[in-house]
Amino acid sequence: MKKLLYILLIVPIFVVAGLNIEKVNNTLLNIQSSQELKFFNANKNIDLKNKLNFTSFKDANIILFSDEKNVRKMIISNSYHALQMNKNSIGAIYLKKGRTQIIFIEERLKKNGLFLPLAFNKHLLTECQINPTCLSSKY
Amino acid sequence: MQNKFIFFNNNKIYYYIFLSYIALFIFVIYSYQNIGFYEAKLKNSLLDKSIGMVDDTSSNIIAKIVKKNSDFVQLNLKNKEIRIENENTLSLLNNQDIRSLYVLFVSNDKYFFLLDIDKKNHSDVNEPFIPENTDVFIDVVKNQKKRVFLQDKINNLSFTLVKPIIQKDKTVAILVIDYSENRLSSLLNVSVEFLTYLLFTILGLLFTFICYIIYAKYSKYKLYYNPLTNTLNRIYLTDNYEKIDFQQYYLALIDIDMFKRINNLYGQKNGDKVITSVIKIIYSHVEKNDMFIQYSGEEFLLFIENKNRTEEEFKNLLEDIRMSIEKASFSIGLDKFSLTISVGALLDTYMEKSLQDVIHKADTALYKAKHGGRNAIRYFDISQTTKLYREKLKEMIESEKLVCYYQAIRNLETTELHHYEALLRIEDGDNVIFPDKILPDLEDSYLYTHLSKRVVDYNIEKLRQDSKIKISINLSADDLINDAILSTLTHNSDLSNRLLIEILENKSIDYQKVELSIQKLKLLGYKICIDDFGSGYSNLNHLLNLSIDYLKIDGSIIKEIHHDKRAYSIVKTFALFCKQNNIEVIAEFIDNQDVVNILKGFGVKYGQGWYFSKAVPYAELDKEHK
Repeated sequence: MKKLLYILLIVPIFVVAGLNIEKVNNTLLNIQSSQELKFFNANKNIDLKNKLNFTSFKDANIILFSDEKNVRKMIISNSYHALQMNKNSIGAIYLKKGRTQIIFIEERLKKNGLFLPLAFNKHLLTECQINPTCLSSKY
Repeated sequence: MQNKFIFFNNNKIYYYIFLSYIALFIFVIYSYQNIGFYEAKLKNSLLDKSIGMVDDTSSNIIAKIVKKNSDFVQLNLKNKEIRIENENTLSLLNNQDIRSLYVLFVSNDKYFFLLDIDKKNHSDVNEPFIPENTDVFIDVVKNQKKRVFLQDKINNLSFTLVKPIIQKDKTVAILVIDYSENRLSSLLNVSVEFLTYLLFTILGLLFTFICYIIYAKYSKYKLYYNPLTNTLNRIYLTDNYEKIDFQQYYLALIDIDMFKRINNLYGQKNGDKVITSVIKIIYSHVEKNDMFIQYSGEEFLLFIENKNRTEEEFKNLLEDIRMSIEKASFSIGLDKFSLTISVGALLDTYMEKSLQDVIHKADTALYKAKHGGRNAIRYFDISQTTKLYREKLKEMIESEKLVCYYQAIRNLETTELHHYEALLRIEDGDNVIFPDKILPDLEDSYLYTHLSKRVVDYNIEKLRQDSKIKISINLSADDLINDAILSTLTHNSDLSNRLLIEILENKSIDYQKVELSIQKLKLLGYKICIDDFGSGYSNLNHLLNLSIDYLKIDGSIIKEIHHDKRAYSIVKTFALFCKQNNIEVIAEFIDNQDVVNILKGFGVKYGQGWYFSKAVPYAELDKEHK
């Protein structure tokens, strides 16, 4: 039980500790859509400083830092693995080698009527690029 | 206070300080503006040094891996075993300073993991990676050159090395090494703040240095200048005897006539005021390049530059000074009085060897002026005949008329030739002038050393022409400390085994000065002989200190040896002394066999004189030199 508690509480904190909040805020603020974007932060340990339009889980259309699969809302996952596994996930924000990784899947953004300005191109990947078989075959 | 005021006015010290501070200010501003540049340069240099070893090793390991994997990226993407093998190989690079080491491949300008040595947080192959400094990664891929950059935005990272992995001239992947915070990173924390401290420390040191220079200059000024008149004093002269190029000046020694009476009547304080007034009058006649020195209380030395003034102009100037003082009215309280000066001057300073000689001659002229009734100017002048004779001698010395005659010095036992003594002669037509007729007139004049130099050159030429001849030359103690002569002997030291140097002992020698020169010549291989020993200021103690090789007993003693008991005993004592101290003895002026026999009895080894042969020109010598 203690181990589970540790995994549930400590690990998420550890995983996201050191995220570049300014960069995260800036990227999320630049997501453009025809509808009003309302966010719900599933990880209260990450303080995004209320720059985004935060609301309740029920009213939100994008759930941040979640690896929940059975949610019928757009999700921004907290790991690359979750992004690969969950088709509802439009992107992922996590740490890799000390760097904040912000990744969005082009096709999934488009499907949800979202897009990012050109300046954020480096954060955009295709479905093929997150699929090892597809990526290897195209190389 | 007055002293300081004059010092600052006269030494242009304000300009120095002002210019120094302007320079410092510009330096500080410039450095501060470029401080970022210096910081980056310093950091880059430190980074380059710190990654040096890993850089070299990684190049070797990558080369090995690439060589083994024909298609590096494809093979690693498809084959897990190869991937593991390569990751293990790359692990060899790992050390405690490295936080992560991984290889990325590039696809459509995006970066994906290929290899990662991190076992705990291993990145999957194909996993995307978005670097912070994308431009650096692009640059490495494009230019195929490694880059090192500081990671100031990422926690616990100090810097990152990015290296291209090149296969078939194409960048197929990149090796990334992240360094963790370590001792080096604290060193890399060279900040603008640190450099600023450094800059201000330098500034502080420079300021201290400038203050020290001013203080040193001021101390010297206080020592060298009379605070009342701001004129140089005798201490300056004493400290700068060697530095003053006296030949550039005419010299006048000025003395205020009967000045003691003023001091006695009005006291020294008032006397000083009168001296100050006299100095002001004299000083008003002096130009920028002239020099005025207060030699003693009421005696002044006036160095007037001779470059732009004729002798006549100098004489007129002295007369103007004398008349100005004579006409001036001086006053102490209500008393008014006039003063006169006596002047001794020297025009031909270029003929003298030292400043002491120049002052001595001006002093002699001053003595004449005072004893001729005062209020007069007298010039030291060698008689016209002497002057003309000197001119003629100078001409002869510089012409082909200077020659050397050679007298054999033989072994008294075997009569075998040991060497020749070179004896100066001047051949003036049919007349042969002997040195005793020339040298006394040249003593204490620069011509003497000039003559010696010519003798040295003459004999060096003979030694070069004739490889069998061995010669001794006579040099005075003054010649031995002359740079030109020493330099010639140094440059021709290959002849040192055939050229002996005889030092004339007929004059008091400053042994301390000469000792250094002798030591130098001995190191060069020259043999040293003391000439005319017993005639002048013979000093046995100095003789031992100089570690000479030969001692030549003066001819005046030798020629009396067979009928004067004292001469007999002196030679016997000298011979014994030399034998005990490994010094060979040469006897001169030998004119009969009796003398030879006595000398042989004393153990004297060599001799010369008319009994053996007279001095003859080189052309008349037996060329076998036997």
